Amino acid sequence: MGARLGFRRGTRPVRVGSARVFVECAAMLDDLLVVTGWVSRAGLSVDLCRDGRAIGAAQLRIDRADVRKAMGGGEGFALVARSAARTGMALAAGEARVRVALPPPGPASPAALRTAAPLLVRAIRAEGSAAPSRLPQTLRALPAIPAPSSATMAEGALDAVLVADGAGCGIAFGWVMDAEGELFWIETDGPAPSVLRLGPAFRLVRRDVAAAAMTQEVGAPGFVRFVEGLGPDTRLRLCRLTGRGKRVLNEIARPEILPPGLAAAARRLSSMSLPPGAAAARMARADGALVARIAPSCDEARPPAILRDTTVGEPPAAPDLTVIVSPGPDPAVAAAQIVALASDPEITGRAEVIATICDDGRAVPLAPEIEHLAALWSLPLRVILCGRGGGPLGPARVGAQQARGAVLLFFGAGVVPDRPGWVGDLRAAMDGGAAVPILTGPEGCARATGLPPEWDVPQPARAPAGCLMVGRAAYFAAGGLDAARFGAEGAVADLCARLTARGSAPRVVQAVRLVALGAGRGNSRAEWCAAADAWLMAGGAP
Amino acid sequence: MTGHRIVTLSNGHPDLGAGGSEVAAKALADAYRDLPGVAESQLVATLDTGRAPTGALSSHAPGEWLWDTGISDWFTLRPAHAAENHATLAAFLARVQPDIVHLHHYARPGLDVIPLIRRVVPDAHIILTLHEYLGICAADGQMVTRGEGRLCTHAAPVICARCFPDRDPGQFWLRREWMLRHFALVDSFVAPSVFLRERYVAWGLSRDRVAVIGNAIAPPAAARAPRRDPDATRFAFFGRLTELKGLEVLLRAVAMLPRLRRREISVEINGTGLDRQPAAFAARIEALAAPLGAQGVLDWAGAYDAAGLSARMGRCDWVLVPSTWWENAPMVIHEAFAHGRPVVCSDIGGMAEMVRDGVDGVYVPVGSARAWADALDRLGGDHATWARLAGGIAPPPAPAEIAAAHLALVAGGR
Repeated sequence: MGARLGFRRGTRPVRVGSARVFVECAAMLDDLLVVTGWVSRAGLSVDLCRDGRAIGAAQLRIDRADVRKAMGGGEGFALVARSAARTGMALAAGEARVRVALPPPGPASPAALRTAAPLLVRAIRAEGSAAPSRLPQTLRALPAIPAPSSATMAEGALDAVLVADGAGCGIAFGWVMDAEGELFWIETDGPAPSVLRLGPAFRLVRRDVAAAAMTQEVGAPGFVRFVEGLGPDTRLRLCRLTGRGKRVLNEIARPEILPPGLAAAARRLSSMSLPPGAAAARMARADGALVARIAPSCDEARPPAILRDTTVGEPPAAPDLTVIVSPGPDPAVAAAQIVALASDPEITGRAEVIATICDDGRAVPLAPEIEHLAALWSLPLRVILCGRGGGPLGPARVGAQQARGAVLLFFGAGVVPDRPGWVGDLRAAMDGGAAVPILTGPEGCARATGLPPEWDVPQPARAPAGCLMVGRAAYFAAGGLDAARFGAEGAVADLCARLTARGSAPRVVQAVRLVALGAGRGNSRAEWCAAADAWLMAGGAP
Repeated sequence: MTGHRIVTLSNGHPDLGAGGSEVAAKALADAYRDLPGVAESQLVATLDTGRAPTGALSSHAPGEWLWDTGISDWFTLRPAHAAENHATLAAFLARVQPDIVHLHHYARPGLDVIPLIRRVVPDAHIILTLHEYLGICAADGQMVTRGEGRLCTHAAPVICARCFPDRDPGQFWLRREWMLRHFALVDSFVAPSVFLRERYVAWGLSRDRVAVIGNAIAPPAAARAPRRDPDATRFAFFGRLTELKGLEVLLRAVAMLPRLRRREISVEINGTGLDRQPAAFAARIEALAAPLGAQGVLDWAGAYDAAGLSARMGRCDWVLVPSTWWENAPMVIHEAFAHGRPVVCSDIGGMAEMVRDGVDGVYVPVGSARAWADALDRLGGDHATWARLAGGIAPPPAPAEIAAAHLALVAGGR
């Protein structure tokens, strides 16, 4: 029996009454003592002793088929205890409290770690931010266990690592499916290897992840983490401590070198939404210094490449109005937008319409569907297919660059008018400056942008995201749509503020209402406040 | 050649086992053809083969075509492979150059055909005859709540989303907008009943754009037949054997009749489609029908076609319409009246509009098996009432009259 269980170091099981106890491994992980072994009688309590007293180690009972088979019963165990002393520990088993001397503590073996991993998980969760100081180094030293790719996909991933040129630091984006998050960390290789635990301060709401995972959880599975010591050759790994050991979820071998730094980061962030209040503020506090170092290297993002440029029908030769449609991912909404434009007397035969579509690799491409609808409804339409890049507003900015009309109408994703004639009404109210409609939900209630009230921006700047009519010259003079400050959904409000600052405050046209579609579209006011707070604390200014 | 060139686009062809709207569309296309002032009348009926639609347009009979198409998204009523499917129809319209395109229902042709017609023949007058409530209600256009089967009176995003928990209320707002944008291209709407018109008006169509004109029905093959057996009363159900046609209510009612009465009457079931219904419903019907059949009170006559309809109508005394949804203008009521048969029907919607209680038929509270049992018990053997109500029946208008009423819409610019 014993030989089949593989006794090591010449030790033998110790008899406790009618049962036997065997210690397989004792190891120190920082100031945690981990002891693993087995008992031949299931349910036998075991503890660690020092100076004759039990110290109350956490015990985990482990089903061990090998023990059951060899001993005719029994189970494995693992004990974890915080202990400054690394010697003089003994094992007490059962009521007899027969002491079993521990082998000298040594480095953690893979077998011991696999056995003790669930206890480590508990210990780290219980310790929270006061986790043992050297634990990250220990985590780094853990041997990685293989994981099936499907499991890896379900647990988390590093999406991107943006390195600020010359700043020696950058930002890592990703997601994890564990709301607790303490069990995840990022390891970096390179000149200054490091281990960065993902705490709650770095958590983001990632609706894309939630949607992809088909989960209704409102948790915060996304993260953003500022990382020091990054260079072009730095490798980053996202790891997780599991019940079986350390699992490397994915690795980015070559971070993306981006001149823009903060601007690009802001664009990335604009596709997410920051978590409520305190967490975002903590993130800004924790990494404010790094943000300050990244900021000077900011630059404009590269515009997305134009992959295809086609025209359906015959656009007017000299349009004075250009409508720039940037359809979102929902084909039903995109179709409704095209049909709405085709039914509007202000558009047909008079305005240039440009649909700018980001080729994001979706299974059912949007462009052919939109082109078919335009042909069906006799709407002359130019369709520009853009590559990735430029952030969520990249396609709209491309459309503005390509526009021929003296007046631009940005018709954003997810908004649909409830009647024909709305374009003419906006045009009439614009009076040479800019105009925005009211944005409502399907139920008819107006939606706010949620800009923090203390920012005291002029009233038109509170205009809803999603639609704006503005003179072409004024648009470019004010700097155009930019997601850097408030994300894509706050970009119209942001531009309105800049237009106002230049003396051409947009008019909010109460008579024109567009309906914003999609559950949970946009950020709640609280989320926007939190995001704004975070950027303010990072040195930004409204 | 002068005169109207009319294309009638139908939900299906009656030769392929379709329902009331298809029968009405063909009858009207035939009637158009015979009207003075009409140079050409073509019927295009959608054909759903169950396979991937090809868009092919094939000749079915002189002046009649089958269009192989199919809807892939019943929420927005849009076809798959729209570009390919539409190409053949567009070529057909371009060749015929109709000045009137009459769309009988929009379900299977899909909404896309409306802008297609407008694009290919921009000057054509588009008439759309509304059948049931598909634009208003995504639950098969029945306006009956999913699950509990409650009659629904109006559509609103939040209300509709309760029938479809996987959909956001915004999607229902968008669906309505989508429908109305397409309907904005239609010149004239026709509702076969006032009830249906009012539902569409409440939903968003302008009342002055919707004319009420009854469905056309081909003249019966046989003249009004007298009662076959003065000593026995024969009731008959005609229609598709779906849940909302109320067959279960009817069978429960028959089972409630006193045993003696069950020997004095008979109920004949004419129709098919039970095999395509939910298994639980089919099992309930079969469990109810088997003992009644053994007792001789129930006669499961099964499928019928247009040619055999007159014979079946002629051998019954009363026609039963126990539907548990609103209906529109049920063709079976037209047919019953055309054959001189009084109708016993549920007291709601299009049925209550077509049948005049105590004049040419009898109302029964919808969905109540007990009330139906009482009605069958009361009417069985009541020859005087039958004679009075049969005498009160006004024959349906001739198809030519219906067709002329449609052309009057075009002439009037509605």
